[in-house]
Amino acid sequence: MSIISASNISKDFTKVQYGWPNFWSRHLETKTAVDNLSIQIDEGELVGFLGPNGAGKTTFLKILSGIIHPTLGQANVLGFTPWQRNHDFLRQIAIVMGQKNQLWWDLPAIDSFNMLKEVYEIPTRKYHKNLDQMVEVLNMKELLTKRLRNMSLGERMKCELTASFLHDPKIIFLDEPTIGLDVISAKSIRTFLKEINKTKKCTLILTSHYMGDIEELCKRVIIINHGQKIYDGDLAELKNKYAPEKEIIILLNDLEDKKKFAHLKGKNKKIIENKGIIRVGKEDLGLVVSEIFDNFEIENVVIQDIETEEVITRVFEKKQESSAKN
Amino acid sequence: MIKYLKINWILFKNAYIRDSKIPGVILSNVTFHLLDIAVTIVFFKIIFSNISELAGWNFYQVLFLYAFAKVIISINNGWFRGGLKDFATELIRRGDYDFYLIKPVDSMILVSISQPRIYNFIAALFEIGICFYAVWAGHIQIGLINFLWFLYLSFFGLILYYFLSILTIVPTFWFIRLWSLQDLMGRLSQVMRYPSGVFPPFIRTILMTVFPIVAVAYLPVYTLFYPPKMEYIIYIALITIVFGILANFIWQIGNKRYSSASS
Repeated sequence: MSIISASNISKDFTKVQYGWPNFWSRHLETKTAVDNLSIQIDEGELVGFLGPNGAGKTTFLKILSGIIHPTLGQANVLGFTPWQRNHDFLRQIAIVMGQKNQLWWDLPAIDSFNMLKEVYEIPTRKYHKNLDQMVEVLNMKELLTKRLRNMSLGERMKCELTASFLHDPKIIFLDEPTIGLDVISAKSIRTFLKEINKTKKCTLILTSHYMGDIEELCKRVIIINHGQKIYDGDLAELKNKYAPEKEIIILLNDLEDKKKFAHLKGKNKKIIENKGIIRVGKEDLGLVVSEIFDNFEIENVVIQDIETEEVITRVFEKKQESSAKN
Repeated sequence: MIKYLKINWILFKNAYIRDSKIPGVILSNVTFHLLDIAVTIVFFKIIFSNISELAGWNFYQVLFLYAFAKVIISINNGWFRGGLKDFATELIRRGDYDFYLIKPVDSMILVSISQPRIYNFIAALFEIGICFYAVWAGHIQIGLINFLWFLYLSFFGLILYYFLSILTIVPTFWFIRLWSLQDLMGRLSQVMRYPSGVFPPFIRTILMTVFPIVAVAYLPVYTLFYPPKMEYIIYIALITIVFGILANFIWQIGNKRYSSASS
């Protein structure tokens, strides 16, 4: 059953400009951030929004969370129209923004959490249970008494996530939650999100520029460009559709290996340092793989999918080509 | 209501903890505040060395009015100004207002109470002291009925000042870079120190009706010194409600207009 349903959502931002020499004449500049976007998201889903900068991902998230009003269109989130900001609706959602803090800058984290307890009217027992759970999962006991302004980015993000889950929201909007984080912190955040999605059965809507986030967390992706939806579906299917070939990487130990690599079948071959990379379509895969295994040691061969980033680039390129034709 | 009181309590507690760690901030602000009061009192002294009354009010009555106006301003500044001051520069311009909008509380109240300032309350204590001094030194006789009505009108004056502050800051939703708005109320509140009779009739009408900043302090103090006028008692309650509805209404329109800075 759909927990989020949005139909034909559009959002225009209009900038009014005054200036010399025509001071009294207004110049209106309109930019369409979201263009006729419709989606349905089921309860418990973990959906990733992908797209380049300025594609409209964050704007769409802000519309669904009720922060901004759309110019056109209808949305129903948990049975409410988000931008009416009904308090019963707001009690069931949370938003985490990687580049902004919702916690009070000068306060120790625990005081911000205590305040959110009052803001969301969380019963004391539930509050302590959730807080203890978050503190344990995110390993952040020592952060509770630390002021936000004294925390590192990773520590701050842990606190932001804790703050967002205290009231057991049904939907969590995550706007680039791992931005600026080191590999270990990003990994721990991803593990946490996966875990919380499984245990609390909450719906997570994620935007990220890091493919690692999307690949690890989201089965379903929605790709947006210029405010329009260009793909909505399974990430694996996306790869099959736009990049059906496999990438084979062979470790080339010596000159002899490089010669053997040069004689291999397959059109798309290249050598980078001591790695030979070859791309093969599914129909030729069996043939090429058996040839490789005849010539190279198995432990030196890796067969993998095309990187998601490249797949996404291809999606955008194809879209641009088709719109240029039209 | 209880929810807002609890939130307020946490914010006050933290403001106290924060400010008590840097006592210099409190000390310097209170000192600056008292210096400002001292200079104004000297200014009044100079005026009253040349005249005996100002619009029918003697020196001690004017001193009481000035100190009382400062009490209203200090309590409002201590409670709400910190949050409202940052509204234009931080919340709207940088988009941090997003987080206020997604909380199940009134965003106008949450923004207003988000940054209380303890030193304003300390300054208010000194100003209340000046009020007592003015009554004592001026041998002003105050009846119990006058005092009770004074408390009633003061309560509405305090709230009216808050709504007027909101109205001066709310255009930020439309004019993001109009940062001077955060100082506008400070400038306008300068007129609260004078009896309404000093203003020409047209200006007085504006300051009592269109933007009733003079009514905030003048009506309660008048009721304390003179026989209470029923029209004042009804009027202050009425304009407080009207301006409350107006402030809330424009704030809600502003919320619709809010476009949120990009992340």
